[in-house]
Amino acid sequence: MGLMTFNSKATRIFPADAKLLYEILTDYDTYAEWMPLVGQSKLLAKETDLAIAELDLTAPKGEKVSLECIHSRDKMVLSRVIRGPAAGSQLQWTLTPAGNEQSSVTLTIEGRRNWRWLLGGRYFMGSAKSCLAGLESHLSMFRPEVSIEGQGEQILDISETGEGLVCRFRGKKYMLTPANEGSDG
Amino acid sequence: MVKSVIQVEAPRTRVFSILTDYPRYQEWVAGCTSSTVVNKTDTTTEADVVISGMKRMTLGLRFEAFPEQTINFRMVRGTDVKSYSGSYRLMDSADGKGTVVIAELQVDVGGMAPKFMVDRIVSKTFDDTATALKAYVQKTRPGAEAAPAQSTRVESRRKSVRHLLRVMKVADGYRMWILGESFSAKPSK
Repeated sequence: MGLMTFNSKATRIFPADAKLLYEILTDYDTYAEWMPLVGQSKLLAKETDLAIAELDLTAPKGEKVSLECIHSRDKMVLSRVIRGPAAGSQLQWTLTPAGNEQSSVTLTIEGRRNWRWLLGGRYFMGSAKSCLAGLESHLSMFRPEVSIEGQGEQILDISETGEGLVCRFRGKKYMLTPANEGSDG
Repeated sequence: MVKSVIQVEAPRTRVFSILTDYPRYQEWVAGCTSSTVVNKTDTTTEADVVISGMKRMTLGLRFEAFPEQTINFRMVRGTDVKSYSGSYRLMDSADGKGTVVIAELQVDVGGMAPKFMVDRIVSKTFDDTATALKAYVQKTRPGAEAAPAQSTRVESRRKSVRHLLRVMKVADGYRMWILGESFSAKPSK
């Protein structure tokens, strides 16, 4: 690793199959919810194994980057910065089944520093380790049972599904619909 | 190679048609003072393009167009730069409001200027091209398209269920899980 380049690599085992992790990693609209240093995120275009996304960074504040992302279903997501600070940098997520519904995720971040990153001494998008920590935190939204200790009766569960917001109260399912603005409901 | 992403509020067919209307490049391409088609086949067009910026350049460009997908171009004549090549790739925008163009350009000016400076100029050219293309699309919008582009985005259905809140009754009280954080509550005595 030279003075003008950086490289950060980390691996972690996640209690989820590669399919779910791949789904999260290619859902660019929700990157802002879990990726370090990302304030807003948006998918611009997607075609088969190629996607274009735009991220608003929180550091350096106000900067935007455009990503060109190449996917290999349930195996790999490679995102290259094609526009913005650290253009030419890339993040490569590699997914490998690790048995027992677990997957190993390796993230490699590499690229060139520009003068701002050089002065700040930080990696683009944070370190690989912090990105994996963000992913683990986000993953718990899909697998809450992993985070709740102890056995017991499920009283209430509110979740976001393909059908919309669903509420399960003492085993009974309710569909939640948005209340109209200005109404009492 | 310098890349850029340009979002245009117009259908892909229209953006493709503008990008392949080479004789009209002078109407919108930043710095283009003339563009003359000298040869044309089904997918390939050769044009002499004159660009006046910091330096006046005459480029003999060969364009190869794949309908509504990609337009590749490269310099086949000219002495002002050593090489000049790139492409436009068109994709439907995810919000259904138009087209996303991924533009690529590689220019080798030989020993005239350092690469980082050339890349910076190319990057600025892309910004100007994006602005000019958007303005040209607006200016030449056909009457039928006067209304804002209709969103045709089909909301992608979330495949995996994402939990927001869960409350469990356990032996010694309640466990609450909210957006990834767990809390315990015990009945007060």
